[in-house]
Amino acid sequence: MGDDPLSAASSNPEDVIKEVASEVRLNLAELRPEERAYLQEHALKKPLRVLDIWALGVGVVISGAYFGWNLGLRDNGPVAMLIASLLVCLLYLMWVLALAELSVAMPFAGGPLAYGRRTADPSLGFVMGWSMLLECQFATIATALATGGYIAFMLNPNDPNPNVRVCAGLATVVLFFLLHVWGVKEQSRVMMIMTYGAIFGLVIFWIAAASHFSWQRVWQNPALPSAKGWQAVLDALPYALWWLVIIEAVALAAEETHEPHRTIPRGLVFAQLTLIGLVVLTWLFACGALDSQELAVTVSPTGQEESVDYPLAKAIRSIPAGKQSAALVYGFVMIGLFGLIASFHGIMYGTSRQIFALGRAGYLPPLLGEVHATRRTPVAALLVCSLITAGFVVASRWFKHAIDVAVLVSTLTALIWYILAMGCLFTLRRREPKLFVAYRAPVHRVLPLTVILLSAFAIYVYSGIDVKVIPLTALLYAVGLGYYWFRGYGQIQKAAPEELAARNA
Amino acid sequence: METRPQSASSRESAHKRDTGPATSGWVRLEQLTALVLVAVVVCVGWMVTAAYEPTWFRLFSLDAEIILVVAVLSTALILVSAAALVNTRSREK
Repeated sequence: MGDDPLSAASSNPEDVIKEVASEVRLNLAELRPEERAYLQEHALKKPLRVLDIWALGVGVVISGAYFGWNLGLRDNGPVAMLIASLLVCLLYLMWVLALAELSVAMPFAGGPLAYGRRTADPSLGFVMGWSMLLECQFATIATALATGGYIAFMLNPNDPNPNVRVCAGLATVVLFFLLHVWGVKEQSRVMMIMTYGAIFGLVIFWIAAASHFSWQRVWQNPALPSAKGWQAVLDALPYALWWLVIIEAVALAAEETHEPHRTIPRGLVFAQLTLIGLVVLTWLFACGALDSQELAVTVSPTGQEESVDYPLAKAIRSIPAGKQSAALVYGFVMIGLFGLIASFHGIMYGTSRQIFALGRAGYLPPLLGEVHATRRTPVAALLVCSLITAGFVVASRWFKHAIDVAVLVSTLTALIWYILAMGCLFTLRRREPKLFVAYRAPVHRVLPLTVILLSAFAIYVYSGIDVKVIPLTALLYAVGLGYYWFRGYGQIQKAAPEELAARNA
Repeated sequence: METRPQSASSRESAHKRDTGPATSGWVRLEQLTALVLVAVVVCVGWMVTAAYEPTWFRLFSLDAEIILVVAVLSTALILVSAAALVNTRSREK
């Protein structure tokens, strides 16, 4: 970490152009003067190392340990949640390995746009890029809303003020817009500090929860609810996805990563293994410290059941150590905010890079592909991402189910492009084997095939749980495709790295 | 970690160098992992069947079935992790 000769050298746009040309396997002499000028204006720096990628990977999804997964415990119990979580951990471990292979072969900020563009045509590239944009944008919205809600809860646990929630959410959006405009290396350092803070918060939780741990609460009798049996595992699965969804945002950092063929696989694998440890330990201690039904729902003063947005804080507040020490509860809640903010930071990174890449390549308005003259950060993309998020935060004041919709759209669009990306991997491996010389995921054919099968299984289960979100998702795809067909298709920028790579295919 | 700027030629040589592990132990690890992943897919199929038709294909007691499923999933996680780490490690040399 830290500044080094590479960072200094890479801040020179000419060096960055050389590296982009190397990554798309083009000779510099093959670039036309206008293409060089375009890359010089639109290239990103390359300062990220293994530790940065690890921090981005862990930080971007660590909020999943703080809220969301606990809703799967409702009427399903801890064992169903464990099995669903292990399935999700396996799916994501295989997914990041296959994704690393694709992102090393095509290390561009566009990620899925580049994979689809190279595999088939601009249409598939756009569908994949648009899917990831929706996934990241709605995850940004969900996390901003949860951060606001968490702050409101901290200020008044008995009756969180909706206005405080909206103001806190908006403040988070503004703060991180400014941080991201400042620069990628600087925000990478902030990300690392917040990630350590979020992990430290979980360690505090495990230690506190261990003081009131009971195996009877974890392995109940019967282990799966009698009324549901194995159906409980299927019902818990959509919520288990929230543990790890959005880690693929790290693949978008490939264009800003030094030696992506080494850095991306190592950083992603270390991040995923860290996250699996966090998932298992958090599940174990949370379910061992407090009854699983209480972790999922709470009864309001009016007698209605409400979902719990703060399961770990509730568990700490309910155990004897928390009852005796208010400092422990509030200290943990304060540290827990690191988790939400770290995730918000990482997801905003992914959203802005996807908007930037689609704009730079001409699929969305070209203005979105502009970078700051000196800091080389995608200001217009960050502004659009922040404005959309802020709009939803304000709308949540009246639209009570905004966070549910945001989570469900994000998860569904994610699963769609996982399957498409694995199709791209199979096609490109067969058609252009040399593309994958730098890095090859283990278990060559079975691993991506298993990702496809498990993702399809998750979509099937998910759509059975809540089909209301499917029309909204279809509408969002129709809007994106409408823009693409009537405007974007005619203004695709041939000098964008994703297009140069496709030209060289 | 490297401290030099990466040129196109050094990148090409890195591409040629990084062909991954090719020992017989590695091949066996990949084959075993693939076998366990197939078992995971079978497990998922069985779970769906057991969820919708609770009386079909029941193997043991509920607790034994749970332990078996958790064991298959945990084994798959351990093997994929091991394969990923060995693969990554070979790139460090």
